[in-house]
Amino acid sequence: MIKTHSKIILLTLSIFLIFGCAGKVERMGADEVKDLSGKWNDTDSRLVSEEMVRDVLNRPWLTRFETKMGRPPAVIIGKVRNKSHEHINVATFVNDIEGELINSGVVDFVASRDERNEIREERKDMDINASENSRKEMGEEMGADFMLKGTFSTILDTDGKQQIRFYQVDLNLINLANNRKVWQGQKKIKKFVTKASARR
Amino acid sequence: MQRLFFSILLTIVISGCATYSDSFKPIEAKLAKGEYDGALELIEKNKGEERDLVLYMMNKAMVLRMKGEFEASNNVFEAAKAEILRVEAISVSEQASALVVNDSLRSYVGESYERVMLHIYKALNYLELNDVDGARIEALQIDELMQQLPEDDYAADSFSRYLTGMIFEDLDEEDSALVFYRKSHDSYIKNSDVAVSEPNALKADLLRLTDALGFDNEHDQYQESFQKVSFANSKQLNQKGELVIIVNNNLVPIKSEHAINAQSPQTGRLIRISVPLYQNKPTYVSQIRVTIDGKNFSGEITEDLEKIANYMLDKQLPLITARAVARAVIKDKTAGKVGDANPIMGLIVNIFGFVSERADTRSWVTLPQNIHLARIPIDAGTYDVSVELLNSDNDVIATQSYENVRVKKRQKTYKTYHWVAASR
Repeated sequence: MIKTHSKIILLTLSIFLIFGCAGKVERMGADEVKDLSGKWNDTDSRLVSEEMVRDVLNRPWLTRFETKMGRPPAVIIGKVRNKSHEHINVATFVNDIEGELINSGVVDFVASRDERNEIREERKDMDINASENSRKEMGEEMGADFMLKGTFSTILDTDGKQQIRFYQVDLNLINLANNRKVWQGQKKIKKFVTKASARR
Repeated sequence: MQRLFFSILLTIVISGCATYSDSFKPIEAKLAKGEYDGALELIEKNKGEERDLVLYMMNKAMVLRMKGEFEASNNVFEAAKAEILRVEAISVSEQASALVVNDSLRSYVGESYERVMLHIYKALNYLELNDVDGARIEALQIDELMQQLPEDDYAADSFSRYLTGMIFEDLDEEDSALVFYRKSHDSYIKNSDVAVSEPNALKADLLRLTDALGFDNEHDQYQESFQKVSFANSKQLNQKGELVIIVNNNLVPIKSEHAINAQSPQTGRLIRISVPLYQNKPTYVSQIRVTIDGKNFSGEITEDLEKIANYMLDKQLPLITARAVARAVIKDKTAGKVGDANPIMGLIVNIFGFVSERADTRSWVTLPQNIHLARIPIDAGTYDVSVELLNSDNDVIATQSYENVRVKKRQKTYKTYHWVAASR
């Protein structure tokens, strides 16, 4: 009887040992966050977009433009390229940034190319079908002053089960009139991942 | 002891008697006829146990891309990647039962070359969808995976490096492209026993990029070793677009089971050791001919997966055999112990141990036997393209046509065709 009991205990213990080593992610130098795989996640997206927006709104290009033109600058989002190792959902990140910027109220946002086409269709339709006083004229669109472009990139350093995942997000704000870069934002995230690997 | 008997009985009932590869014949027949929906239905029906989930996903994704559903195919490939990671992390407990019963009770995570091919086909899906950035991500993941694989594994290195170079060049990242062309070149030479001979198209790429980037010494060295290979310089090529035709020829061989059965002269008990072996197929397609506007272009074989599959199995066979022998010893000892207490039970345990010894014949069976590639620089425009597969007598054995293929300036347009021979 005692023998069977000790067997069961041993078995349970070994199962715990086996499953106990199933992966650990330590975040380096950031807030308390729950990480699962070590991949880019919603928290990263939010942290980076918040910090980028804070940075872009506190730089001289904004006041310079406002004093010169007497109105807030109009910004459009260009292509944010994913040059990383992961299939990151760049659209969510871009939407985060756009949302934060619009809600800040200090920058005007111009609809993207796809959105513009849809709205133009609607205006064309109004031209024929809407009443005189509610009809919106064509040729009244606001042109953008700046375009926001950027890249995601990663550097991985792997040694056996351990890996450093280094993410870098670069955003540029480019003056559409003269191609001048008026702002560059960079945010880095570094994660230390211990992979689970029971095989071999 | 009765418990042991029942658990062995249960395992036999679960694992069934047919090996994995037996179930593939009807699917292959559907693929040969181009009945992809029928093949998908059969794949769904033969989904198998949870331990075969990765295989099911890889086969499903492959047939979806044969059908031209590249996005759906990529979703399944991505799920397969996640499943491989999940299984790798938690699969210790099942090793024990695999050691006691048989190897095919282990969760399948894919051979190293299969895992690289997964990324390659995912990249090709992105390229067909004209999402070069998506393909670039897969290329980087291949590089990451390669760094973790054992040095002596050949994981389709040569072709995957080559394709990576092409992806970078498509994105105007010429310096990175050259790095990967060089790696591919080194791999074709270093692994000459398992890789095919270096394609001339790659040699031309190396000559062109070393010329364009001003690596004069390296360029001269390549000139010297690649006698008779001509190349168009970057300036000329940048005026044109490029059509890349990839033909996946037939299917990799399937593993079959080879068993040694014996009866112990001392105890009279039955002993069985069974190991997997590949049943190689004849190669029907020797070369491809692409016709555009009455002009013919030829292709080259860039990777021979039949060779790689055999090479990797040969390498693993000693370990597989050792496991089979260890299993036979454990099973024989158990039967002996049971037999001491109850001879009839001992006999039953022996028979079940004998019958349950099956070789692990699982592999990614929808991979091609080999891969042909044709790179055709061509002026931007819209073309009707015909791809003919030729046998060793230069007779056409299959034709695939594409209408209104749009080629843009300074961009590569990819078309892949997977031809499956009727099994005989």
